[in-house]
Amino acid sequence: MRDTPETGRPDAPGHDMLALAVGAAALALLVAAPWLVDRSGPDPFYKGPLIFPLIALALCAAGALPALWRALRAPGRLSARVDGRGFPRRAAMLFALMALYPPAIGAVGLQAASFAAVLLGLLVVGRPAWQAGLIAAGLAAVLHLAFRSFLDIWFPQPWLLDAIGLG
Amino acid sequence: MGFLVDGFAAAFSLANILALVAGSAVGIAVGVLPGLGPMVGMVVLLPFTFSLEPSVALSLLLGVFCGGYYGGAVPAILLRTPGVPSSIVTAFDGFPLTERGEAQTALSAALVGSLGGGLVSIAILVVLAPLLSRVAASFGPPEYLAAALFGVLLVVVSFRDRLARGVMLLGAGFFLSTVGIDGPTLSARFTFGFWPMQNGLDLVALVLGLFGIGQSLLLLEQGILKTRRLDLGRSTLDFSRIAGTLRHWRSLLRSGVIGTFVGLLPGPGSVLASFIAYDVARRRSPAPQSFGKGNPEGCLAAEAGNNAVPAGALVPLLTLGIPGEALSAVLLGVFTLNGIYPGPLLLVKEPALISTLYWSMLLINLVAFAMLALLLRPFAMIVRVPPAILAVCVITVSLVGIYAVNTRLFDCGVALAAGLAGYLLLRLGWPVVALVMGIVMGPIVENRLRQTLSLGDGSPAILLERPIVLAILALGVVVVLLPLLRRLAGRAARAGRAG
Repeated sequence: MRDTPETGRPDAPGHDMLALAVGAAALALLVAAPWLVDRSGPDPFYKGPLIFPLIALALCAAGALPALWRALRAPGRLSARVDGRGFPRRAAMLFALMALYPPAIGAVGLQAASFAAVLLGLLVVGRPAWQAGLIAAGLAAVLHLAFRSFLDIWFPQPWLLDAIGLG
Repeated sequence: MGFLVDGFAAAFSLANILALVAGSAVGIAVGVLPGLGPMVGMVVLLPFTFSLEPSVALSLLLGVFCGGYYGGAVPAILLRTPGVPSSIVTAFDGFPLTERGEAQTALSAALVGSLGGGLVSIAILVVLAPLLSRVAASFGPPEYLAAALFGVLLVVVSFRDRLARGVMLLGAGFFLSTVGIDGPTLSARFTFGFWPMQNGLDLVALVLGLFGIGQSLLLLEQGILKTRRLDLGRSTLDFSRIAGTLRHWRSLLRSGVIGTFVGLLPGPGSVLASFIAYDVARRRSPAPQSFGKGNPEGCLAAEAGNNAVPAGALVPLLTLGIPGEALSAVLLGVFTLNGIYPGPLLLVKEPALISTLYWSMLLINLVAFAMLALLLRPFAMIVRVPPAILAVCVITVSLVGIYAVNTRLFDCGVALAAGLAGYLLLRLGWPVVALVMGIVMGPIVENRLRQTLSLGDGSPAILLERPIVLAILALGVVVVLLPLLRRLAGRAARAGRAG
């Protein structure tokens, strides 16, 4: 897809759609806030836990008003197309892979998970296998040295390795 | 000035020197790399700071902050691709000089400008911070609330063409800061019965996600460098050219002062500082027509302007606890996570820390200058690292770093969600800074709001009884109305001409 001059404008239809979505979510939270905040304490409203979230959500919803105004004036111009640059395939694949990285740390430990995440990540973004392997091994070693040896951070016992007797 | 001596020993301790050297090296590296910038460097290093002394942690991050501006000039001059946004102004004259085979002249001017701007701004910081602190010592909760709101207002109105989105993201940031158990009342807010949410959404996870992960995903989609040409002539800076650039010492001092005062204002940031410093240098030059065609004074002024911003931004941060932009918001996070609350009393309560900070800023500028001058070629070669490799490595290190802060895998989930949001917002050009300001300033504003309303028994009218608050509010009204009035006057003038 080609980028069009209109998609770069602050009031472009895709931007307005996103603004309306965020504004609607803020409005829904604003209405539901009294039930989502524990108000059982003795404090008056002005010292209580609800006043600031209400202000924050009202601000957030107010930010969507110009987009709402434009949408009401010309309802047909709203579009879900955000910037016309197409679907970010590589970024989406890398993000999906990295979303599995934290659970993998719990399953197979820091070194193995880091090696696998970096190796697969680099392959996903199109780097050659030898380069990916080399960088993955190097980074996994650096992360182990920095976080386990130097900073002495506790990592969970890898449950998958334990289950198959390699832990 | 006796307190300046107190921090001297701490600043020159081995740990502090190592931290500021490491920070400067990382800063220059991320500054050289177009698309990353000092923010990504700072947030990736953030988890490492929790095991360090506050002064050492701040030296590390300030090294990245300042080093980033030093590094940003290198690709701007050699490739006309600014490493940091403010270096675009350096490219105006730097790249024409490179095309004429005078890259070393441009780099000398930029580096001397960066060093000079940094030193001038530190001198102003040392003088100005205690003065502002003395004024702020008379502040009560209403004054702090007004000052914090004024700071936030300046940041939001700096996105004039995206004002509504700035307001929306500021509100969203405020809201995100309220999730979890509310400290004063111990009430659960927006936890949806999910117990890991009771600790709230971790600041580091949110900021690292927004910038570290979001920016890295964006890197994958951008073909940044169009050229592989790097013509340096030699592997270090040609020191014989430095003497020549010192002819422009007036421009250097002026640009440093401009950058510091622009840095004082929340919102505008280093891009504006560079532009103003460059424009003033051009106007004052006997040969203004040579600017834009390869005048080293242009590189010097632009770099002096942008490198003076970090010290300028420290003034409101240290004296009022108000960060001017996202980078100082991260520094504020480091202060508060270490139990140090910036404000007028900080200079009284923690003189050694502040003094160490001043000395560290001085050392960082000297170290960054020396590192880049001596290791010019290795640093310049960093631009050849493929963005895809950087993206994968930054995301991996970020996720482990986030886990390390609280040893909670839940925080990694928060960072990934923030990363997705950050990617979308950065790609669309929404002002993510407003979101970060909201997240960092949220607890401060909420706390001051409660204290102010308590003083007035629930009535906000107390704000109108305080002269300083009224003055700040009046200034806020001027800041909002002035551009509107200017626009109306411009429209009237155009209509008059047409008539």
